Formats: sequence, structure tokens, C-alpha cells
Amino acid sequence: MTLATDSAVHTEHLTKIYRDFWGRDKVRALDDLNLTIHRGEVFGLLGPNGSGKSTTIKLLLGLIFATRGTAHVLGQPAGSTTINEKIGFLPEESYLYRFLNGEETLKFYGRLFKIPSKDLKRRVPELLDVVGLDQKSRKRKLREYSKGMARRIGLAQALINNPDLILLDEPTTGLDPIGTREMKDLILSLKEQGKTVLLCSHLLADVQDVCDRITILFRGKMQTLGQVRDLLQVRDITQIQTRGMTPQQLTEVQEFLRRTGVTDATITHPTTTLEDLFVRVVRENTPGADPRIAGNGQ
Amino acid sequence: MSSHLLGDFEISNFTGAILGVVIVVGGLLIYGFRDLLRFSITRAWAISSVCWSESIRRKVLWITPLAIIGVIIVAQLQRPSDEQDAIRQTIKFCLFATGLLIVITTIILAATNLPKEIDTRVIYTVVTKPTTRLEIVIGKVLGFARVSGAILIIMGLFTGLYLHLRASFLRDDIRQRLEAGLVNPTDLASYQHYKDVGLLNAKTIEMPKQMEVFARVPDPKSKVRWFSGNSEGEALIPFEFKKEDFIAPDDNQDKTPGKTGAVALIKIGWDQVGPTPEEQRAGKLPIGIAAPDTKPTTRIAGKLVRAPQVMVRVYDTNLNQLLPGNAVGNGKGVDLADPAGITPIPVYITPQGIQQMLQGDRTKIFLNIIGPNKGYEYSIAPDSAVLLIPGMSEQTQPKVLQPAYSNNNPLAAMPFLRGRYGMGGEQLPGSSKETGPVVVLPFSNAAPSGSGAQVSFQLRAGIENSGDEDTEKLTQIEAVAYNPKSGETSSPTKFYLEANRQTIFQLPRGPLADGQFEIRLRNLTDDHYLILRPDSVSMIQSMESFDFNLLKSLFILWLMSILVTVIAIFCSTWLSWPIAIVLTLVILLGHWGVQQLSDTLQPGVGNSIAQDLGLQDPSKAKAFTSSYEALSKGLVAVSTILPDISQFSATEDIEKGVAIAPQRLFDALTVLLGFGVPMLALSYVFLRNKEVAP
Ligand SMILES: Nc1ncnc2c1ncn2[C@@H]1O[C@H](COP(=O)(O)OP(=O)(O)OP(=O)(O)O)[C@@H](O)[C@H]1O
Ligand SMILES: [Mg+2]
Repeated sequence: MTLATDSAVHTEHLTKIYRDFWGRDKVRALDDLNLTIHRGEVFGLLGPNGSGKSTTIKLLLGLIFATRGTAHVLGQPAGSTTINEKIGFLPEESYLYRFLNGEETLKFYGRLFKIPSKDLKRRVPELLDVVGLDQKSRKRKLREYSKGMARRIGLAQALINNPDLILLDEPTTGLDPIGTREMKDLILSLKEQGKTVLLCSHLLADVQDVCDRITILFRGKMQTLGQVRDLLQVRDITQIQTRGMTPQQLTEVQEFLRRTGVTDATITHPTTTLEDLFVRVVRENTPGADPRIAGNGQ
Repeated sequence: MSSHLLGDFEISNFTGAILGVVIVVGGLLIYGFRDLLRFSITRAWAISSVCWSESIRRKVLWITPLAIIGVIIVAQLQRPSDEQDAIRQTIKFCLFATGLLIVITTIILAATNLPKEIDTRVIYTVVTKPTTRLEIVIGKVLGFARVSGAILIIMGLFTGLYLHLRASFLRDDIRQRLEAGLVNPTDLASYQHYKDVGLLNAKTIEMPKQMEVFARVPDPKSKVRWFSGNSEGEALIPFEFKKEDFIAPDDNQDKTPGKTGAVALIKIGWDQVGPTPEEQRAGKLPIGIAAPDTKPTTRIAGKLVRAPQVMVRVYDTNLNQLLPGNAVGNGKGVDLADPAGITPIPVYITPQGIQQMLQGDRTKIFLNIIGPNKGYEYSIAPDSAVLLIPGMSEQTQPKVLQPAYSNNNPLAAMPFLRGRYGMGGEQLPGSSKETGPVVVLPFSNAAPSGSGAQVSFQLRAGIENSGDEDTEKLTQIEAVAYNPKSGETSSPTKFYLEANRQTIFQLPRGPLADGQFEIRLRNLTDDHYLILRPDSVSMIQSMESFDFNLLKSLFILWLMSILVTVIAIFCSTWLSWPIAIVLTLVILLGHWGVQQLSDTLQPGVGNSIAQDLGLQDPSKAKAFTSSYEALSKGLVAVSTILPDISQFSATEDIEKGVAIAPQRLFDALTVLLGFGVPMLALSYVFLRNKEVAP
């Protein structure tokens, strides 16, 4: 399987059904997901609450086991510990040891990668600088951290091993606008370094700014997949853009267009916002219901 | 009674071991082979460090000062019987508190840790690193082992300091009282010993190989041994046999063993050492009135006496009477003829008796010979008894079964003599005369270490006194060391003894030096009986440092805490923490609990309960009985695969001032590894198959 081995993430018919204590089906959280993320791309996973985004990530990391289907990550079956060497993961909330301070946290995760203490001594402050935690807060226990600070230390631990594939579950929640901007810059710089990023987010503007391709999940099913630009194209409308055109000229152009072709005008397809697309996709699949409520209920 | 349970136990112990091996091989070596190869101590240690930091930052160690305060308060309330007892009790409190502390702490910490990490999802960031679940499990065990180790170090330091302080105060006190002459005679030897070696010690102890009670000090040149009359002594002669041995020599038909019964042919000598009751009475009665003729009496050398007699009985290997009285010698005593014991006297054992003796594939019995009459002592030698199996016709020569003496073991080369046997042990009657009953305790490979002129022994025995003697009288003991090889006998040491209290006495090193010697004790106080068991006397072979002993006992506690951690973690891999805590306790106490219940789990108990419940209907009673038996069998089986925490008894020895033998550490380690490693393997397998999302 070349796709399975060459791509960063490759899933086939990946399905997750949460069962209750007695083994009865409770929630079909992910349904037959076929997804391929290429190496080096920034991929956005979108969807309303409860659509299965986090479930997908957990499956890819082996935190939970698939009910059906397969998932490969960096060429190896999901959940194999060896592949974790090259993965960085930022969970939806910062699930870290709250009694450790920032530096200790990074050192701990560094040791799990068997990074020599010498290198850790250098890398830990470096990373803390990258994610923007100042000297004072590095020495404070995580339980005293604000939400944004916790998010930053969470990001730092995800990057401690200089991973090839980074899974970010809603990385910008809790961050201030500056932090959000920095996060986006960071993702782009990771892309420049040739790393693969899988990004889950609700903040559509973020996704639009950084993602190469996206998919939208709804009720555990993949609804759309493609280049961000392609997906946002509206093909039945043609837009003509010129600069400094007088109304007279415009009528002439219109006159001209009525008869023949055009030479001095750029004609492009206009884009809607991602938000429009998002709402449209969800609406199309929820006849007569509010998408969010529909997304959560079963 | 418990032999059946024990038998079952050994079998299921074996299945338990197989189960353990299967789990370890299957779980770790096969299923977890890759993770085993990947195992990194760096990662496990990092994980353990987090457990450690968490405990420290949650201020778990703060419970140690609380425990210390508790111990000090309880120690103030104790009512010791003497200084040594005060120290003993203090050691007990300290170690009990320590043990309790680490067990509770480790159970709670270890059982809640994984569920909590899964609940707070911290586990997400740990398992998505290249950590294997094996490293997580081992790392957690290591981490809590570090925590319990820290608690043990703190408690150990406190215990050591506190005990040294108390012991030095008490020793000063003893010194002053000795100087002022304020010590009871019974305490003198022991106090002198405490003054010399202090109250905190760790002795290594040598026990005698056996204990025999003779009526007279054995003569090394002769194989004759003496036991007391008046049923105060008895002889035991071992016989080993096969069923076929009891087939009559001329039985060519159905060859039923025991058809012709058997004859015990005994040669017992005797000596009159005092008046018989009849003589006593005759002497006291006024002249002219004859003594009432109660029992057949005999005239020997012109004197009117009750005849010297012995009774023969058959005992099983637990030294319990096996055959009913009338099966052997018609249940009556046999009169002895010549004092030298040359004439053999037959004692008939009935065919029924022999058949009963052969039941249950028995291959060994003891012939028990006892002299009921007062005023005599009886002599016995290795050739004093044989068993004859007579033929069907009188012309046939009987088969001869010789006693099963051992050629290799000098302790089993002769009839075994013991004192009157009661609840607490064997009696040693007192006698202020030159000669009298003597306890002989052979030691082997028991060379005392050190170089002092004297070697210390300890004696703890019960004391009973007969009749209306004034009970204030002290019991005096005389001890002698004898070396059979060199023939050297030490000068006697005399000391006073108090009932059931350890007393120290000293003997010169000379005869003891090569480690092959006998200790002989005589009771010099008339009408007092010493109650002795083979472990009543022991030699203090050497002294180890108390601190080292304390270290050993703390180490055993530490091993126990690791086992507790493993069990708690195992339970928490698949249960919520409150249930995990309960299950951990059940696993820990299960083996012990079933042992406590062992009497009610005996086969046959179900039946008697059914009767007690008044189940009239036989089918109902049968159903009840069989389900009860199945249940108790199941319980016993389950308990045998649970760990035996009694192997972690760290306090017993150190409390007694005895050095903890390396074997104890080894036993504790065996239980830890034998149970802990399979548990660890299971925890790993469970955790690997667990979705760590809440
Ligand atoms: N442990 C679980 N047991 C049962 N159902 C679960 C479990 N975890 C998630 N689910 C269900 O699976 C579905 C998908 O959940 P998931 O967390 O993947 O959603 P999401 O897309 O990440 O949502 P959000 O945007 O709110 O983070 C939801 O309906 C959720 O209720
Ligand atoms: Mg989510």
C-alpha cells in the first residue's frame, strides 16, 4: 500500500462506535472515514461540536481503538509507540500534570523521548521562548496557569521532540488575538520546515489562513474534502475586476462583452468566506434544524 | 486436621506457580515482546519521578510526623512487664505503625493514580509519547516504591533513634539497680546480660535438634537409657513397614495382612528408686494393721511392692495414640520379670488392631512404652523391642520386624524418650537429690561465635507445682554442657527461673566450641514441674547490630509495599479507584482470611452444618453439603493463588531481639516476585488493551 506508507495520515473505512458497559452501541462517533493527508501539508479538520474530530485524532494516536477500518500514521499502524517518536500532539485542552512547573513539564516529556539532559537544557528554554512563556511563569506550577498559558505549554510539549507530524486539536482556543496570530505563524513556519500539520478548529478564519486542504466532518461522516481555494470557489458566477473604470467605460465593456471577447480585464471567480461554506454544508445535511443542535444529538 | 487442606494447598500452589509462569511468558515475553525490547529505564524513571513529585507536592510525607506522634502517645500508655518487654512493645508499635502507614498510603496512591490520570486525561500526553504501557506500569510501581521507601526511611530513622534513646535510659536504670542490689534473684542472670549487651540486640539463635527427657543422666559408655515411672516418662520406638510385612509367614491363601495379629516382644529393665505407694502406706500405718490389699502386689527381695509394670501402646507419627487400649496387650500393663530386662515379654496386638494400623497406607508407627507405677525407673536399649508376625500354625517361625533406627542419624539411632506430655510441652519433674530426671538437648553445627569465656543461652519454660506446696518457692535450674566427642562436661550453672519469662544463663565455652554438644537441664526444686518444648532452650550464637536488623525489617516492609503497589495498580487498570482499593485489600487479605477460616472449610463441615440447620430431607441436605464443599474448595483454591502476606512478617523476629534470617528476606522476595511479576504482566496486558480515554 503506497498510500498507507507514503502519506502522513491514511485511513480506510475508519469507524468508531462508542459502546456502553453492556456492549450496546451508544454513539457512532466516526463513520467510514477515508482520508489521506500528504506529507508536508497543513490539513484542516472541521466540523460542528460532536462531529468526531477529536475522535479521529484519538484514533490516529491509538488512545482509542477503531471499531472498524484501519489508520496509518507516517506509514505505520496508528497507535504504535515507535511512531510516536515523530508525532507531536496538542489535545483539545491542556492535559498536563498540574503540580509540575513549566520547565519540569517539558523536561519530563523530553525524557520520554530520551532526549539527553544536555540537549534538554538548551531545548527547553528555546521552546518556552517560541511559545511565548516568560521567565517568571516557567517556574510556576501549571495549576496556576491561565488558560492561554496552559495552551502555550501544551504546544511546547507537543513540539519537544521536533516532530514530523503535529496534531493540533483546537490550538487557538483560549489564546488572545496576538497568541492566535503567533500560532498561525508557527503553523506556517512548521509547514515551511516541511512538517505535516493536522489542525482541528472551529475558528474558520484560522483554518482559511493556514490550511492547504480541509475536510468537514458532520455526524461522524466526511462531507467535503479539497483544496481550500477550490472549495471556496463559486463556479456559476464570473467576476470581472478592473481598476479606475469610468461608468461610461463600464457600459462600453458591457456593450463589448455582449458582442465579443475581452482583452484588458481580469476575470476571476469570487470567493465566499469559509464560514458561508461551513454553514451551507451543515445546513444541507440537516433538513430544517439548527446545525449545532443536530450535531450533538442522536 | 489440616493435613487435607495442606495437601490441597500444595497442589494448587503448584498450579498457582504454573499460572504465574504462563501469565509472565504469555503476557510479557510473547504478547509484550516488542515493548519488552523497547523498554527504557530512562522513561520508566521519568514516569516514576512524576509519581514521586506528585506525592511530595501533595505532602504525602506529612503523614509520617502524625504517625510518629501517634507512636509516642501509645508508647506512653504501655504497661511492660520489664525493661526488655518495654523495648519489645516499643519496637512493635513503631513497626506496626510504619507497616500500616505504608500499606494504606501505597494502596491509596497507587489505586487512584491511573484512574485519575485517565479521568483528567493527562494520560493522553503520556501515551502519545513513545512510552510503552509497560514503561507506564513499571514507572508507576517504581514511583510509589520510592514514596514508600521515603516513608520507611523517615519512620526507620525515628524508630532507631527513639529505641536507642529508650534503651539507653532503661539500661542505665538496670545498671543502677544491679549496683544497689535491688534485683530479684530470678532476674539476676538476665539483668546481668542486659547490662552487658544492652536491650537492643539482634541475636542469631541456635536451636537444639531435639529434646529428650531421661530419668537419669545417660551413660556415654552404655546404650541403656532410663525413663521415669509413675507415667512421668515414656519411650517411643519407631517401626516402618509395608502391608505385606503383616501377612502371616505361612499364609498361602488370601494373604490378608494382619490376620494373625502381631506380638511386640519387649525387654525392659527396672530399678526401684523409692517407696511404692503401698510401701509408703505400710510404713505409715500403725503396727499390726495390714495395708489394704488393693491391687495385685508382689514380693521382690522380700519386700512387698506393687510390681514394676509397663504398658505398651501404638502411636501414629504425630505421636497420637492410634489403636484403642484393648487392641494392645488387652489394655493392661504387663509385669516385668528381671531387673536387667533380659527376659523378653510378649504383648499381643490383635488382628483388628493391625488392620486398623495399616489403614490409609500407613507405613510408620511408634511403639510407646510407659511405666505407670510409682517408685521405679525403667531401662530401655535399642534391642528392647521387636515386632513378631506369628504364623497361622504354632509350628511356623514368626516373621521378625526390627525397629527402624537410622544408622546415619545418631538422633534416631535409639529409642526416643520423652517426659509426660501435656498441653504446654513435656514435664521435667524437680528433684533436689543428687540425681534425677534430666532434659537432654543435642545441638549440632552450633559453634558459638565470639571469644568470651562464657556463652549465653536463653530459656523460657512453664512451671507447674504439685500439691499444696508454698508457691513462693523459687524454681532452681541446673544446666550443664556436655561434649560427646571429647567427653568434656562443664561445671554446672545454677539459676532461678520464672514461669514463661525468658531467662538468660551462661555456660563455659569449652565443651561448646566445636558446635556438637548437648545441654542438660535439671530441675532442682521438688514438686515443681518444668514445662518444656524443644524450642524452649536456645543458644545465643552471635549478636548482630540492632540497626542492621531494623534495616532488614524495613526492607521487608518495603518489599511488601511494592507488592501492594503492584496489586493496586493492577486493580486500577480495569476498575474505578474505590473498587480497586477494595479489591486490593481483598487480594492482600484473601490468603490470610481463608487460613483463618480453614476449620470451617474442612471437608465434612458442610455435612455437619446441614445437620445443625436441621435439613431433614436427605436430598436437600446432600445438595447443601455438596454446594458447601464446592464453595469451600473453590475458596481454598482461590486463596492459594493469592499472595501469602504472612511472608512479610517483619516484626516478629526483631521484636524478640532475634536477627532476621536471610531466609526471611528471601521468602519475602519470593512472594513479591512470584506474585508481583505476573501481576505486573497482567496490568500491562490490561492497560495495553484499554482505551485510555475516559
Ligand atoms: N468516551 C465516549 N463515550 C461515548 N461517546 C463519546 C465518547 N467520546 C466522544 N463521544 C461522542 O462521540 C461524538 C464525537 O465526539 P468528538 O469528541 O470526536 O467530537 P468533536 O468533533 O471533537 O467535538 P468538539 O468540537 O466539541 O470538540 C460525540 O457525539 C460524543 O458525544
Ligand atoms: Mg473535540
